[in-house]
Amino acid sequence: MRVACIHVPQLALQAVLRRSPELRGTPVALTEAPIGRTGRSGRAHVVMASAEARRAGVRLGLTAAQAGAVCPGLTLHARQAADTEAAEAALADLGFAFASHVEHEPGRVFIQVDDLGHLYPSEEALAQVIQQRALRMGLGVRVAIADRKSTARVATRARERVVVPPGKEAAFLAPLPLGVLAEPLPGELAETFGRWGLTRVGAFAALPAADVGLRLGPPGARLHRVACAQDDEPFLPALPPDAIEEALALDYTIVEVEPLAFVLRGLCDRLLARLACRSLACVGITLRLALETRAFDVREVNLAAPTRDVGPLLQLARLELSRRPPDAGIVGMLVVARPARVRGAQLDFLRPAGPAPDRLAATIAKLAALVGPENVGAPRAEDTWREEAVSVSPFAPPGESPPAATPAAHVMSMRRFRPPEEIEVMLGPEGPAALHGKATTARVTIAAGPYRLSGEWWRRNGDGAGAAHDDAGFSRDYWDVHASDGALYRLHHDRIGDRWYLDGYYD
Amino acid sequence: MGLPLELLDEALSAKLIPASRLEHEPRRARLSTGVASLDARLGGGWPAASLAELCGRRSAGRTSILHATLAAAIAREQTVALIDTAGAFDPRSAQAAGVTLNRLLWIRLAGTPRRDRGEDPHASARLGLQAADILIGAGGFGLVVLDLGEQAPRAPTAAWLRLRHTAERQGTTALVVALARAAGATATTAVVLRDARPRFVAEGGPLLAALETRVAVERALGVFPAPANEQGRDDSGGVCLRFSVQPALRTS
Repeated sequence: MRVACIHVPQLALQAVLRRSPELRGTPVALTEAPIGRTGRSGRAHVVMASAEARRAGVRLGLTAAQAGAVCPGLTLHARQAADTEAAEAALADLGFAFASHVEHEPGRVFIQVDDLGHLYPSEEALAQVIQQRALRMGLGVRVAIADRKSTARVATRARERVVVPPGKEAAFLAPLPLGVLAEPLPGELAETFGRWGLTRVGAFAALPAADVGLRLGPPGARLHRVACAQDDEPFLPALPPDAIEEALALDYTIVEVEPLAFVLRGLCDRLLARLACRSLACVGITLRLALETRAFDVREVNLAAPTRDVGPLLQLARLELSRRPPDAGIVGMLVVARPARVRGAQLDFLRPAGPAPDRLAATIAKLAALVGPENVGAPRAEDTWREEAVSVSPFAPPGESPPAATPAAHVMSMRRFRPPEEIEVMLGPEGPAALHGKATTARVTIAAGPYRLSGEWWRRNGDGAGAAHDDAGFSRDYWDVHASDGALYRLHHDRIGDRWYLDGYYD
Repeated sequence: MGLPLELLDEALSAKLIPASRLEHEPRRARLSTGVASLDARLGGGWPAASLAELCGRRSAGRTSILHATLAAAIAREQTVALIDTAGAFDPRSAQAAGVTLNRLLWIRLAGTPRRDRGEDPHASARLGLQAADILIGAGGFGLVVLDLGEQAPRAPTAAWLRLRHTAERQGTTALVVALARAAGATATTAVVLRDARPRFVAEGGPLLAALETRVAVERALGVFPAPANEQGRDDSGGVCLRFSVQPALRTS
C-alpha cells in the first residue's frame, strides 16, 4: 500500500495566514493568549513565528513586548481555536480532493495513492500537484509518499517533498537525524540516545530489537520499529464531515454592512474552495453572527441552484443584511455551507444546447441578487379567478421539463398594470363613457361588457384589486373598451368598494 | 454580334442591385416570430445572434407578437428569458398563445426593492439592460427579450452596442420590445406596428373579437430584397396581421 502524508507545519500560524493572506512574506508571530488592545503591550508569549520573523530575531518564548522590540515590523496575532479548526478542516478537504479514503490527525492527513497512478505520470508529480492545490487553499504543506504511514510521517518532518521508493524505506531513513522519529522526541529517550552516542536513525535501527525493548520500554521499541521501517500502524480512514463551516472571531466590532461583506468574502472564498475540493457546490449558507450583546443573529441565504461562484452568494448575503441589519455590533461569525452536487448536463443531438447547469445557476443567482429572489423564476398563473394573480415558481431548463405546448395561431394578448391602477370613470347609458387615471385620460368610443366575475367570498370582508386586498373576496364587472387614444383597455368596477380600476390593455 | 451596351444595361437594370443595398451581413440563422407572414417578410424570422427591436404604441399588437415569438422559441427547445421591466407580463394570455410557462425564465423588475426606485424613472430600464447583459453573457440562451414596457430609456449607444456584440458572440437573439425604437442603428432588425384597430362584433351588444394591426419592417440587415428603403420606410405598406380573442380571456 502506498500512502501519502500531507503535513501542515505550524498549522496555527498558517491558519492565520490563510485568513489574512496579505501577511504572507512579512514577519508574523503567534501568541498563546490575547495580546491586549495595543497589540504588543500584553505579557503573552510568542509560541510560533514565521521564517521572516525568526530571521529578524524573534524567538519562541519572548513576550509580545520583547518580540515587538526585536522586530519593529512584526505582526502579532493571538492563537484562535476557530482559525485552527477551519485550517484542519481545509486540510481534510484537501485530502478528499485526491482520495475517497482519508485519515486525519492533528496537522496531518494520510491518503491512499495506489489508485492515482493512472491520473498522474509519477508519484513525484502527484506530490507536486498536492502542494499546488494546497497553496491555492492558502496552506503551505509538506508531502511524503511511502509504503508505510509511519515512514511517510517521519519523511514530512525531514523534507518539503519526498517520494520514498517501494522497499527502500530503511535506506531512506538511515541518514536522517534521530529527532525526526518523534515530534518532539521524549526527553528521557533523547538523553539516552546522547549517552549511547547515537545521532542517526540508521545507527539506532542497527541495534537489536529485543535489547532496545528491554532497555527503552514500549516507546523505545515502537520508535525502533519505525526506524527499521517495520512498523505496522494501520490506515484508519474516516468519513468526511457533513457540515462545511468557517468561523472567525474578530478583535474589533463591525457595525456596518460593507466591512461585514468584506470579511464575509474571505470566509465564503475559503468555503467554496473547500467545497470544490470535494467536487461539490454551494446551494446556500447559514450565517451565524455573534453580537457584542452576546446574542446570536442567524440568517439563511438560499441560492436558486448550486454554484461555486462567490459573487452571487455574497450579493445575496449583503442584500439580506441590508434589508434587516443586525441589532448590535458583530464580534464574530460562523458560516456553514449547504453542499450540493453540481448537476451534469447531457447534450442532445436534436435539441439546441442550452446554458450549462452550473452557469445557469450562477446566472439565476446573480439575477436574484440584482432584482430579488422573489422576482426571478418561471411565471405561474395561480389557481384563482382573479385575473391579475401571478406567482413565480422555479425555472426548469428545457432538458428537465416535459415537452413544450404547441404554439397557438394569432392569439391576442394582454399587458397588465400591476397593481391595477385606480381610475375615475364617467358612465353613460351604454357603460363607461370616459376614463381618467394617473397616466391615462380618454373618451370611450366602444364599450363591451359588463362581464361579471366574483369569488373568494369565503375570505374576509372587502374587495380590492391591489396587492393590499389579496386576502379578500371580490365581485367585479369587467369591460373591454376602445378609447380615443387608440388603446383597447380592460377595466373593472369593484362592486364591493364601488371603485374603478384599469387592469391593462390588449396589445 | 452582341447587344449594344446601353441595351444590355437597360435589360439588366431590373435585376441589378446598387452596391449600397448589397447584402453585406453573413447569412444568419433565423428564429421564428411565430407569425408566418411576418417570418416571410423578415426572411425567416428574427435573425439569430443579433439585436432586434419590436415597437408599437399601446394596443398595437407588440405583446401578441412577443408571445407568439416566445411560444415558437420554446417549442423549438430554446432556453428563453423575458426581462419584464414593467411587470406587465400576463401569464394567462401567454399560456393561451402557447407559451409553456415553466420553460420561461421571467425576471420581473417592477416592485424590485431598490433605493433609487422612484427617484429615477429610468432605473428599471437600466436595471433591465444590466439583467440582459448578465443573461446574454451567460451563454446558452436562444432568446432573451428585454421588454421596456412604456419606458423610453436614455441608454447610451455603447450600451446597445455592447448588448449586440455579446448577443453575436453568444449566439443569442436579443429582442427589445418598446413603445418606440430605442436601439437605433445598433439593431439589425426593427419591426414597427402601426394603424392598429380593434374589431367588435354585435351579439346583443358589442363584443371584442380581434385586433388588426399593420407591421412595417423598418430595418432588416441581411434580408434580400430589403423590405425597407434607405430612409428606413417600408414602402410596401407592411403586412396586415389579425389577432383574435381567446374565449378564455373574455369573461362572459
